[in-house]
Amino acid sequence: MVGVKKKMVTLVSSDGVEFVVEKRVAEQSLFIKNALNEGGVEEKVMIPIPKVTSDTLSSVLEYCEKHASATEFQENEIEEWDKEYIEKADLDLLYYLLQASYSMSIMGLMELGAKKVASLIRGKSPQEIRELFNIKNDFTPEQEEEIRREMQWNYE
Amino acid sequence: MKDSKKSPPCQEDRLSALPSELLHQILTFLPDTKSRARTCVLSRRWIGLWASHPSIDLRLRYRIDLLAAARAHVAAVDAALDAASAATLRRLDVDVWLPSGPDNHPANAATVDRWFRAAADLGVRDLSIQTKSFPSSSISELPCSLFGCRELTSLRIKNGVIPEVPSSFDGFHALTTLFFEHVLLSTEIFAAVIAGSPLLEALHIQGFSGVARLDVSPENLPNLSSFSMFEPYGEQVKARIVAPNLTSIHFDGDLNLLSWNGSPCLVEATLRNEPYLDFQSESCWMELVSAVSNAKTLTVNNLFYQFVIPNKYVNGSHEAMFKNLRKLTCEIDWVTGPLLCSFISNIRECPLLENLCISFNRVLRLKAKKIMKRSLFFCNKPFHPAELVKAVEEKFEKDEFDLSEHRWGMGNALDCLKILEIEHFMGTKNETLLIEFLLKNAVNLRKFLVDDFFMRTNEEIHRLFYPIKFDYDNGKEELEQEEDEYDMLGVKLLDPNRKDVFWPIGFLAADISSHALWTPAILYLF
Repeated sequence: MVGVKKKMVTLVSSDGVEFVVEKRVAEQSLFIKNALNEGGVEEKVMIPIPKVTSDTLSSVLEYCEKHASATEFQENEIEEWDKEYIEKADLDLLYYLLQASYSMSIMGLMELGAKKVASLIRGKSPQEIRELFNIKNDFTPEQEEEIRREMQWNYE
Repeated sequence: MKDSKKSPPCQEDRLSALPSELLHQILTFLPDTKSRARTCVLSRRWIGLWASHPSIDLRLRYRIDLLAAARAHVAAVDAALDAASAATLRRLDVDVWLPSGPDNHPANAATVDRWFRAAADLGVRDLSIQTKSFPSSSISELPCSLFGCRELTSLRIKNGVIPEVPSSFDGFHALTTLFFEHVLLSTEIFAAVIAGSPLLEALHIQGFSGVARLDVSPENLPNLSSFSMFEPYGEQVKARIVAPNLTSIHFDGDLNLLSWNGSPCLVEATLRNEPYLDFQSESCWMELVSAVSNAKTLTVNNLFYQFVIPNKYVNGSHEAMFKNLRKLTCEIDWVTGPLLCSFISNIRECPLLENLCISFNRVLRLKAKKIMKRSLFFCNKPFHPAELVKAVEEKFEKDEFDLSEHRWGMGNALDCLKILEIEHFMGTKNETLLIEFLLKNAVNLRKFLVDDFFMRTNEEIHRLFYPIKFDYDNGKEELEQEEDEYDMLGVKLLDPNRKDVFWPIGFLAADISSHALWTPAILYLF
């Protein structure tokens, strides 16, 4: 790889931290890819990533790095890696990753995070789900009763 | 689970704060619409989320009380369709249970009719319907309101009688994917559906009855890129295909009835003739061979070996017939002498072949085994695999074939071959000859897998075929794991340089660096 100068871009997180990454890594995000295409190919590109903090961004970039360097022959390996990657994220990071993948348009990461949340919801009672995600039950008892009645078809 | 070192665990409801699109994405990974709908009781934020989800997926779950299950299923589909809005719904994927008895109709044709009308009103793009008819195996006719779903881009029907196309049908103008599985329809209905779907890209029909003819041309289907037609019940289909954009084709049945000139962008093809069915003429065979000649992946049976491919010369130099072929799966009924001869000749036409799978016809082998077992039973004799092998050799593979004149030099056509797989290996003389030949010539082989027809364990095979003492060594543990994974009979070779090579135990794996020593020990048996 000596002599080949890799194209780099600088991403700036919402709290002002700069990340210098290879262009091909950053382009895992469609948002960045589009921004780069629009702005022309200049040497020193700075792209602000609003609403994504440095902690989250570094985790997102870890994902992008892995997926940018993966070839189609390593599918199984990548799957394993994804599983481990999302497994070690706690709930807070999971929200941030989802939010970031959404705003940065990284489809693979969005799917991965959504799958993880869905797996946490599956098989739990509404009360258990509320407790896990701190969802506040803002229905009056009457409203709740009405919904349950309307949803009768779902419990037969 | 909670090991966040920094800020205290958050008490905010961040999940509900995510955009609806993301929450829909999350709901997508719940099993079905029922489980999605259950989230509506969480909070106000969640109340309508499930209904605005782009997809309704409802499977019928069999329970002891089938009738009650079916009624609940109908209620669920009705409720989901009721709650859905045309602005968000894209896909409807449901089961329909049409019981055969006269009085117990939880989902009769009227229900399905109602669903189709609702789907049409909601502008559903992707419709997938599977009818179940338990206990009888008969299939029921679908209502013709199906043809009212004008905005469909994808239609998938499993089990059902396709109704007559009504005169009011003005086509599926956006349909790109059509998938029929286990359906009954007529040649005319099929033609009318195709004629009404000019944008069709993928056409798949499997396990069907009633179609005798099919005509595909750039006039009716200019965009067709994927075509598959197999398992016709009863009558074979006479198909005439002209599709210049075809990348993938799958046709099973009587290949004499297929008229197809190939396509310049073909990538993969599966063309399988009925067992024992030969091509009527060499020219008819050659036409199909040329049609698949630029494929990268091929699955064929006698299309590969009934005749020998003539040498083709372009500008004076020899050009291989299958010049792009990377993966070949070749199904072989019995290894007759002429087959061996043409197979070996034709394999030279695949210079870039990386993956070769030879699948000996399992059904025919099982049949032979059954017949033999039965006759042995009447004579009160035990069955022994070696006797079946001998019988097969005498009955089907009696012609001798001398491979010595087919020894190739270096730079041969199997230079690129990395993976060789053999399925349903019995160990007849000719099977062994063929494999031996391939092993000898595939100098760059990395992986060799054999799946044994008799499911013999390594030890059994060892005792059967391999009189020389074999040193299992410390490779044994690994070997057992591999066996689980591949259901194969093989030994992990302990050569440090080529660890990924698998050898069937019947083959002497002592010194693979020298080709001269690749003597298959299987031969000792005969």
